[in-house]
Amino acid sequence: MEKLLQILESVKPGVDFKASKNMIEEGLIDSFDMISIIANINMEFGIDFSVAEITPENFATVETLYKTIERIKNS
Amino acid sequence: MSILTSSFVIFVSVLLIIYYVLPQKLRWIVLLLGSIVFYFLSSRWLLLYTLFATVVIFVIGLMLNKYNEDIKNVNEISEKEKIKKKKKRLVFIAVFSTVLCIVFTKYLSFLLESVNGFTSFFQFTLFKSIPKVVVPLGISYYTLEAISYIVDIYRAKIEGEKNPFKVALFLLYFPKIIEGPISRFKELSICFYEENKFAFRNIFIGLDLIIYGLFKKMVIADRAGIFVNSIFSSDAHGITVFMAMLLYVVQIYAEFSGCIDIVRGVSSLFAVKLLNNFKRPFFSKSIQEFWQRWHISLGAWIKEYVFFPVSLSKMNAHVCQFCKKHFSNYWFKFVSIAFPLFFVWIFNGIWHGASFKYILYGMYYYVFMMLGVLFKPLSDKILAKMHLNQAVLNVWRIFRTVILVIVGMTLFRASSILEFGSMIGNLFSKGNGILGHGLVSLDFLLLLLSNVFILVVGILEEKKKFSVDEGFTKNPVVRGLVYSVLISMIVIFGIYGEGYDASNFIYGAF
Repeated sequence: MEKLLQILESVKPGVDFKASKNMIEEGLIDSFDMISIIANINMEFGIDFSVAEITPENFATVETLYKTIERIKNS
Repeated sequence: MSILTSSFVIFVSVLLIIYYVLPQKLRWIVLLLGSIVFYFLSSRWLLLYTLFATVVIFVIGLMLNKYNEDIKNVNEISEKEKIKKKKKRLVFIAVFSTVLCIVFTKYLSFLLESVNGFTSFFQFTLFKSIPKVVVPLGISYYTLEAISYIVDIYRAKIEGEKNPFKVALFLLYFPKIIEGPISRFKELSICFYEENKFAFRNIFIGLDLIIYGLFKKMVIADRAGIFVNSIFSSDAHGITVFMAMLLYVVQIYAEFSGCIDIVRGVSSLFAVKLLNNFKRPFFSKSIQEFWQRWHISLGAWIKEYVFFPVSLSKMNAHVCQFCKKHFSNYWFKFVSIAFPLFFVWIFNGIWHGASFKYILYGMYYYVFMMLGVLFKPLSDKILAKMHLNQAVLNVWRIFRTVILVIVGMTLFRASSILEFGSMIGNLFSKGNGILGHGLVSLDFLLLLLSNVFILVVGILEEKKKFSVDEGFTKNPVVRGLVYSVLISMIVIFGIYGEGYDASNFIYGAF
């Protein structure tokens, strides 16, 4: 989780992602940010994030995003 | 059949009666038959091409369904990978052949002319005659929807429909085949088969949207179009050119959003809710935001089926890895989106038309969007130091965006890149006034007042105090009053009569 928070912080410095209930609806991240986040996640976690995984549900909170990473890792 | 003719009104009225007389379960069949009749009346036997393509799309959907099931039932990873490869091959063939069809119908002349242009450097013409291919109605919208249907099954987001007639209804549904909005199978299916109950609310919202759309199209767009048509391709200068550029933006917005209002209104009469393509684009503070508010369904499609796949491609992953290793975080972020956005804007340009002008049109927005991303940190710092009032800052940002859009739309409207260049050049020389080009002072006053009305509606919608989507009002007296005013405006000030071609929608050509 810490690694993911670091990635989010590097893409959007100064944003309190932990407190967010919906990162997309609150306008914390847009599609450009998503791409930078995914590129970082792929490199740091050694996974292949597929397009089908880019859903508002998966990117809702830090927890949902982390769960998605774990699921891709274990699949 | 144009949507602005009495035949269309009769067609919709008859269909509507049959639709609501029949039981809810059978209503979608009325829509399908109506859509087939509409397509035939508009494109005659090109309907056969569309029906054949629909059958192919349906079969591929079923095959993908089977692969998706096989993947679920197989335990071995190697077997799963084999099926995934087959699935990938199939979806590639499906998308490639769909694109090939549109290339043949829409882009063949452009491709052959480009080859001729190249061979002319060597003093010969390769293709002596360029065949004129008749483009089926709504081919660009149909193609994008067909691709989204196939790719969504491939991504296991939806299940392929087992009834071929339901696939045909999704692809041919008559209100959206003319100018969109580009719809998704899942969303429309809910409306077609579950939410198709009669409700006065849907009828009133439908009528509101139709009247508002007609007002935009006939009072604003067609009036602005008279001035625009007389200035573009002429030798006008200065303020005359600027007024033509400004009025073209007014024309295209009023016409495209007006048509979408009419289309959504007609669809609402059948209790089928279509996506709104516009969210007050001229309140945008950047080019990026403008494209999130203008032609929303196209933007959403491109994001999902071009931007994300290219962003997550192996090639972009290598580019990102290289940047992460060798450059700062700032450049990594910039490059990770610059590469896929290049394809997005090439696609956007080509989708709009078969010429180099449209490619340049796409590149124009690409350059400004990337400059926006590149200089955002710097401009944020400068603006923070200037301690400007937020409202002033917003006005400046909106103004800047509108100017960029006016120039971009001029390129879109100009008949060639050369004409665009000459218009921009003429902008800085002395003009010859705005009167005497088809519009009199009263027309300008009417355009001004109508646009102020649209602006006020926009401001109220932006502040969430009102929405045309929810209907003008619930009060029947006020509704009657609004109808009377708008209909009177359309009847008295609408542009129609002898020589008027109502069918000529700008985005209908795509």
